[in-house]
Amino acid sequence: GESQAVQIKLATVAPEGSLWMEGMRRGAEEIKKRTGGRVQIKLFGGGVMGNENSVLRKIRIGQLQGGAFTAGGLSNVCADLRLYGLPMVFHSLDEVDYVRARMDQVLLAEMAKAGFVSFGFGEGGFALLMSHEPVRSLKDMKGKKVWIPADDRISEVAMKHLGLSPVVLPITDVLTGLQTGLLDIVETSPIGAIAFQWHVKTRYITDAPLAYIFATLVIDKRVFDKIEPADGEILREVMTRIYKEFDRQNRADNEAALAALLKQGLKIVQPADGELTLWREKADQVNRGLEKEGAFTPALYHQLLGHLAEFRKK
Amino acid sequence: MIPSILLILLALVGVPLFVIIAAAALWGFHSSGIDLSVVAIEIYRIAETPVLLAIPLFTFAGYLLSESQAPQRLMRLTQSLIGWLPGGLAIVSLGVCAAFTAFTGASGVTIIALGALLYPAMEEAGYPQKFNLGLITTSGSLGLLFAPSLPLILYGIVAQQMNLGQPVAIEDLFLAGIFPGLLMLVLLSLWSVWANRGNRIPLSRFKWRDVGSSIRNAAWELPLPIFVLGGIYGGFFAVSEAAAMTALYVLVVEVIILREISLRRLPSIMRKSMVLVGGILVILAVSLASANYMIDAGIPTRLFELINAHVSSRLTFLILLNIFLLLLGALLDIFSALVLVVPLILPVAVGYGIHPVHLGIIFLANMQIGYLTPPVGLNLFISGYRFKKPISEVYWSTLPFFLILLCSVLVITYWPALSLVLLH
Amino acid sequence: MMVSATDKGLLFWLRRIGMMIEDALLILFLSLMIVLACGQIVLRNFFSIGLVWADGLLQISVLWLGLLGAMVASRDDNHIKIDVLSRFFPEKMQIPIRLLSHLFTAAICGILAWQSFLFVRSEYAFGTTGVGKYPIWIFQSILPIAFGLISYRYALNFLSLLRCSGKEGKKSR
Ligand code: NA
Ligand code: NA
Repeated sequence: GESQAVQIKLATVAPEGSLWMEGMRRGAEEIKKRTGGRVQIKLFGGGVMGNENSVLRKIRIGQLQGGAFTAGGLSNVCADLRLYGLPMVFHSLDEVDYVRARMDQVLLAEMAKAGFVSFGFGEGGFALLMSHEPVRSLKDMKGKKVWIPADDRISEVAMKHLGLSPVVLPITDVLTGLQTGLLDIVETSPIGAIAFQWHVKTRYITDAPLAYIFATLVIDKRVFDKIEPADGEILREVMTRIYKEFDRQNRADNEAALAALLKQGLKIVQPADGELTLWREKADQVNRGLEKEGAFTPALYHQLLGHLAEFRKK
Repeated sequence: MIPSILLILLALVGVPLFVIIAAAALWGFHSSGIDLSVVAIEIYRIAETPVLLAIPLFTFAGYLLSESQAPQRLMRLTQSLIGWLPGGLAIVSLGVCAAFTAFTGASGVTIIALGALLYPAMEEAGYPQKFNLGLITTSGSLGLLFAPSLPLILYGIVAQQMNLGQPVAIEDLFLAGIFPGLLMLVLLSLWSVWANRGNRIPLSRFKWRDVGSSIRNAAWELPLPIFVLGGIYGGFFAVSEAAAMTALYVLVVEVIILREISLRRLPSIMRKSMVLVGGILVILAVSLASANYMIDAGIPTRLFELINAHVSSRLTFLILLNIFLLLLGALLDIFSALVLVVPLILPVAVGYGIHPVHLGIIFLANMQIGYLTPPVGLNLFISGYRFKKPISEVYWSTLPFFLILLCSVLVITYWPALSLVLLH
Repeated sequence: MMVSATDKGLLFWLRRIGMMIEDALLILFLSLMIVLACGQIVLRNFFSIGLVWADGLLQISVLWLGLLGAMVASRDDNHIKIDVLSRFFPEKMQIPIRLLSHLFTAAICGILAWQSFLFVRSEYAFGTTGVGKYPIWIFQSILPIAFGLISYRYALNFLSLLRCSGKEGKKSR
């Protein structure tokens, strides 16, 4: 018989008019056409539905059926999303590619267990240090004011291990904070730096991948299961394709953003000899601490480390 | 339709405003078939919006100042400095409020915190009460165009991510806001002088001795702005933390150093100021819910499409944009409006050859007077509440100021050079 | 008569104690806010310490202050109102209008209280945490309490006005 149209309302912090939104709109159009209007996607950009916690709450009560989340935002319901973003686990994007080819499916399955259907991950790039003064070593950071966002457990633990003093501020204070000297060092990807215009107030970028940033789009599994299987397949196929595109596109965009930053006069700084090893040792301590805290599933963490060891042997 | 008419009637006969807004939100969500606990989720967003922290802290500081002798000292100081200028204190008040709003945003806290200080000072100086009410109400959103106002920064961030082909630098916005902001200040100042031309406020001759003694009198309050601005620009604390330091400074000065407020009176002042804060925050809270209903139902988008359908030229676009933004300022808070509406209007505006930085200034200038637009501008209610005046009196007192601001908005809109002259 | 008198006594004392608790909480939260916000600045500048949980707690205090303030404001119906029409109504209409207004307020706040309760219950069920590692429902519990009490106060206002007007009605007859 004639089944009712399913409306899927999705929220994101990406603003209307951004590439993400435009890509999603094209996808929504295609899904509507190919399912004969039985699956309709409505997008709410710009964070108008509130922060990620609010969006999760609204998914629970059914005002929304899904949304785009950063790994951190969704880690309250699916702890293992923290894995890729752990401090300094990855040394390069090649390592990321190797591990993701083997573990993306595992994380998608974990999300399904938590009640969310996801269609893959969109890369945000590596977070890098941006600073007023060149940062080549841990010593260069001592006594400097390093920004971390409020209630960010991983950054907090990392700062403690590094013996640094974080300045906790809402993100809206960062730009003026960099200008007034309230902050000396921030951590973000090249795309993020340009979006928030922090590059205007910083001069150096340290070439050391601190943490891998990524995001994902999820749909409430209860809703997804209500969609006719054939339509669900179309939805899955289109969304997976779009997310693959985002994933590829963002890598290129991050490279372009970094080039733009350099063109605007920012300078790349290489960590001093032995520093990177030291930082990675500290990061490893952080990660083992988080493992003990139960911040993620130990077995999956070791699986990730196993893949990395494999890759590094080659 | 019938529920909205009923709600308007209930509002007009004295049902608390937050109840009306909450009822509208509940009704809206109910008719969209959405679980009503979304209203609670939205109200809880008060605890997820860092900018609101400034409201209780500044309100408390303002209350403390108003209960001390600070208003009299401030009045004497300005009289001694510019007592020879008709409307002098009014002009000073406008400037101070604009600077304050630039740092705090236009959440109405200017009216409560600074109004508490300036309103009695102006009354003491002999300004008519109706004029004072209008001036303070208007000042509540003045200064949005001056750096480092958060809405300016947010506009830059939103516009930057839209792939317009031209950069929208926040620093350019800071520059672009200067002359339009000054235009508003100058026009309001001229009006203040004109409106008080017939008042018998005794004009005093400038005497160095008076200046010296009034500065000595206010020796503890005068360093406050230097302390706060120095703290921010010296990198000791963030803009969002200025409120806390102000509250602490005022507390120390009025209670411990000057002892004009005894420790015994302090709890009752704390309590009174927080009741005021409650009255405002509960409205902001339920407004989040009603705005969310409108966003969920796509009302701003539909409204814009309706208006956009009649656009045929740059001129009609600008005229309809002004109307649209004034309506919007009454419906949404400035932050929701920014993220929701800027992406809608920006591509159209750029298509008509409007510079994105100029559009930002137009947008904020319109939103600014949206706070004062009768019948539903939030600042009108806050002012009536703070000074215990019937709302109709607030309407009439604010009208001349509103009309002047409306003129400035038109100038800002149709004279792009005013905004763009400092760029490049 | 006797029963109603003791009733009134008990309610009277409950009311007094409740009001004292409300006032004390208002003062406590404002003080906490000043100490925490300024303390953070002192710790950062003089001891190089940053508290990751402080911002969360500060924002929760804004919510608590706002709702407690709104509760206290409803004691004497001191909320922001537009109220431009009621002055033009004849004397006879004034009391029915105020009765209607109180009743409507009590009803809407009752709904808000119930929906807030459902919200807090679901946060409890999902075990969401905040401000460090604490269950967030504790911080959210002010929502149903505040709207519940506001509703209760307006219901009382309604009843006492009804009783008053009833008495006056009898007297005038
Ligand atoms: Na904010
Ligand atoms: Na508004």
